[in-house]
Amino acid sequence: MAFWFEQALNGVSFGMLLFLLSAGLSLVTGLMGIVNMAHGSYFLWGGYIGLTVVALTQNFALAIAAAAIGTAASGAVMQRFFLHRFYKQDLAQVLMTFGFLLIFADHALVRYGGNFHLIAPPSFLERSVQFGDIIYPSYRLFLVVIGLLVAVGMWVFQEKTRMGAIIRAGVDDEEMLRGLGINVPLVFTLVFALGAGLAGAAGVLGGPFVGVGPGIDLQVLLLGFVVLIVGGLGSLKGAFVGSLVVGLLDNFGKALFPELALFTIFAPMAIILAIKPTGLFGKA
Amino acid sequence: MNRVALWALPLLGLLVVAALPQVLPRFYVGLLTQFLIFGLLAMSLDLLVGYTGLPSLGHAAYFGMAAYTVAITSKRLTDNVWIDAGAGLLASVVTAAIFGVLALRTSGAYFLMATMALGQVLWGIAYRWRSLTGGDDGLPGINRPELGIPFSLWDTNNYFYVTLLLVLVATIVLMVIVHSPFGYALRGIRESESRMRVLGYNTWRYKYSAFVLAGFFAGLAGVLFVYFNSFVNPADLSVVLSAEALLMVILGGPGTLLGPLLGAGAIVFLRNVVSGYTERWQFILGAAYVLVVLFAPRGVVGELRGWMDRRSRAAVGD
Amino acid sequence: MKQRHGHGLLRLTMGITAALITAWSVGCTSAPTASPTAAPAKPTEAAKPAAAPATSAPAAKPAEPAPAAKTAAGAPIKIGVMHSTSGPFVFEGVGGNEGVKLYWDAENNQVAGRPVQFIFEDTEGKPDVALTKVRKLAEQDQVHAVIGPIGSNESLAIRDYIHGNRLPLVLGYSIARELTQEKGSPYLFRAAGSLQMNSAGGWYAAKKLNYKRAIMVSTDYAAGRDAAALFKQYYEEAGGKVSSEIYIPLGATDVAPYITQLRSEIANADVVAMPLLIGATASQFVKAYTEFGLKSQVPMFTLGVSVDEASTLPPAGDAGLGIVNFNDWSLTLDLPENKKFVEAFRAKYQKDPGQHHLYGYLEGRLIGEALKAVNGNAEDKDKFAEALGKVQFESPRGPFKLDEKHQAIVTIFIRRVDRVGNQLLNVVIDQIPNVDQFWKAPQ
Repeated sequence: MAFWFEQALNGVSFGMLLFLLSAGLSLVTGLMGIVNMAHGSYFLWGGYIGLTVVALTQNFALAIAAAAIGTAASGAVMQRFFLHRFYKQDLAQVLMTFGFLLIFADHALVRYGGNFHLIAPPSFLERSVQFGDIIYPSYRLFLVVIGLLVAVGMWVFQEKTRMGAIIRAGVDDEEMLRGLGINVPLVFTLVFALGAGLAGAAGVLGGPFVGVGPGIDLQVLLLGFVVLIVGGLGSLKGAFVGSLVVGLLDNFGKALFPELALFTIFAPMAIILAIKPTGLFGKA
Repeated sequence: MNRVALWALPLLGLLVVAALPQVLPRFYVGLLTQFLIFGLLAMSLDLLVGYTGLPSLGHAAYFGMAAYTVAITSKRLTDNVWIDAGAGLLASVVTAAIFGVLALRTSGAYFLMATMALGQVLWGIAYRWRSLTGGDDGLPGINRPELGIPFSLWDTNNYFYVTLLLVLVATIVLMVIVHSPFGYALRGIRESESRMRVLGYNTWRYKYSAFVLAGFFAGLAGVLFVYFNSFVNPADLSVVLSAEALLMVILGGPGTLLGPLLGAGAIVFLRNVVSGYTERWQFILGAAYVLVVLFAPRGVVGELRGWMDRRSRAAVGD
Repeated sequence: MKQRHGHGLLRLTMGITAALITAWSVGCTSAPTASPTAAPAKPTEAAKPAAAPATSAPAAKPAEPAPAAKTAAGAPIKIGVMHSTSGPFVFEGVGGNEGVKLYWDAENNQVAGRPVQFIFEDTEGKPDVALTKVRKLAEQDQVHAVIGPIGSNESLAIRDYIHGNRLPLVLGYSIARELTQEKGSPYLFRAAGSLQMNSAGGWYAAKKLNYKRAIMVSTDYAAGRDAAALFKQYYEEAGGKVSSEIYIPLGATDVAPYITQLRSEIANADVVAMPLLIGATASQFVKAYTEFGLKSQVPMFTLGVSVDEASTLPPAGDAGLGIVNFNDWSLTLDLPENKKFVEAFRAKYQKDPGQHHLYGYLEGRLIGEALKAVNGNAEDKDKFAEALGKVQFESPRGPFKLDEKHQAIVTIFIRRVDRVGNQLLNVVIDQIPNVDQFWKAPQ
């Protein structure tokens, strides 16, 4: 029983990290149809920015803010000056964002070297908590709280604000936005920056247990895509549920069928797509 | 004039490529062989990406499936090349036939991800089933076939010419396919599947045929590759190779067949020649991708064709 | 429109076929274009394990004329270095290159009056690419020896090629057992401790540390499973019992599921043994093991690579304190050669060397010592290879020596992570001398 409870906690906390990573990816893909291969690079760079800030100031919150702002800014630049010109040319976007992925990765390697790092969490989260026989790192519980807060915040943003309404309308019918005289390019840039910033923040928040180092960009990119597809494009609810499903599937899959650890993510994904070709919550 | 150039250029290119082994050192002949093999892989993918509008991120699956099958049958069953290669091609066709049924339920980005997931499942099997596949160590020591002809395929130049001949035949067949009514129907589906359906086409059947055909040609590339390298490992069917194949297609120009061939050449060249001069070659590769999109968003050959069309149209207008 | 395409195609087909036949016939008549400077025995093109040594054997006579050597007296000796600088082993690759340069820069990149030139090639950690790169180094650059790739699968992929072409290959990082056993070659040398470290580790855990029941945690790839198998064999022969085994895939993003799994089985064990847990996963695992409260219940016993000062230990931080581990070297090793090595490294790179730097250094030095022994005559491949096998010197980790199958014989140091000043360091607490790849455990 304790085993199942603990595995569920693992899955949920990892799922929350996936949610932070993929919420923005989902919005960007759903709204603008961009398959952004460089999304994992924001995670990577967020992690490195966070690492640097923590080393300088020991301030974890500041590190998250710096990483979010830094990656949001670079995302905005990328969208405004590069991707924007190739709106709806998805193949060109794939090639270009893959190019950025390589550039970012190589630049990070030159700047930070090949070492792997774990970011020190704030000191009050370094201790573990005990319930029953289980000793559990408090940081992972903290991450669940953060994930839920962001989810609620984004839900409010999407459902209750004008900007959110514009985004929702845009996912359904982007032509209509233009008809309404809305500054669509600006909306796109802001949403893209938001997505990049969230991924950058995720890089810091994942830092204490996932860590940052060469190759993490591709790893989380693949996971983000899986979440996106399982949950369905362009849906916040989809990204949330998809993250939890992937987090839990991955955990229980590895625990129950260790021999199949390499399949625990991709096999369910293939099955879900075969049954429901637009993901759990995606629109056709 | 332009029409002539359109045919003369590839022909000239072919002549140059065919003559190169006479002057190039052995290593570069090996690179040329790789260029042809990956070019075939990219062209087969172009049938899906460029002509049918199906961006697959799992195309290495059929390449690797054929390579593994050849490796396993030649090591365990027989060194008869016809049986081994035939089994390899059959394996890739069967794999494509199964994956096609699943993947074609989806479209767009979902198709991209579905093909990736299916490919990764195969990768997992290759990685995991160590007794059969050698796991991540792969299967080394696959002998090139003895064809009972006076020259040995172990010679770099001879193997190059065999590859050139087969890739050439495959290219011609692919050209015939894309210029046939079937090929035009695929383009129609790419532009608007619903319209084609209204016109009475069974679009699923067309897409499925294209999917399996693409799998077959990827399998042929896989067979050539495994004999070339005498070695196969899980990377040969991983998402990394799939992504690379897709990048070759986009780089060269989707829907141009010869573009992806050139894209393959560019990537093979960068990886093997430029990387000898700088550790920063991944950066150069990335920058090249970005620049190509900025200045040739339809791929290099795609832009070239567009430019030539515009010129000829302008000439007619005058 | 379609009509015209049809005609064009037909013409194209015919033209191309004609061109091809022409090229083919030319190609067949002048096929052997091997350059005259190549070795006397024409290298076989690729892996032909059975045939290749047979055809090249006659050339291995001691009286082999070495005309190239005379003409090449002042010409550079070329060494190819295949450490990957991108992909999964970028850390080891970049560090390995630093190690190679440490030795050779100190030698002014020359030996016996000949300059030594290095050609660095990135294999990306991919066996296919490694195969292409070794061909490039051999055929294009005509290198005299190759310092090998990091991944075992890469080294296995190029093994037949270097064997067939009699190209000396020096390895440091690739640990697959068979490379110096059934896949061994007169031209293949491994400068670092291979899986034999796990033989000694398994024995030590049962005999000296008195751990009776172990859970093994290793990485889920060929070498990780082989390392675990060897550890288990020696551990159980010495009276221990492995109660369960957990394998973590390469590049697992989160190790939590495995920690929880471990908790459910830990009541059965008095040690958690890690025969080959590498890279990011090792740091994550050591840290999570503490955070999930398991470290206070059962100690860990691991291969040194999981708590290496230059890579895996700093991310884990204090979670690594007190972990006993086994390795073929230690930064703190109290040997004059080691002190010299560490000082020279610090002076050149302003940081402490790690195990991956040492391996690069040993690879470079093994080649250097052999070249000295043959007085710079790298053209005589068989003499050069023979010299490589006989190299002996005082190395930072003690006497350097290869066995008859070209695997280094090493001392295994038992170490413990201690806090020294404000640093976490592996302090040597015991050692097992003369551990070779067929090591027999003392009874």
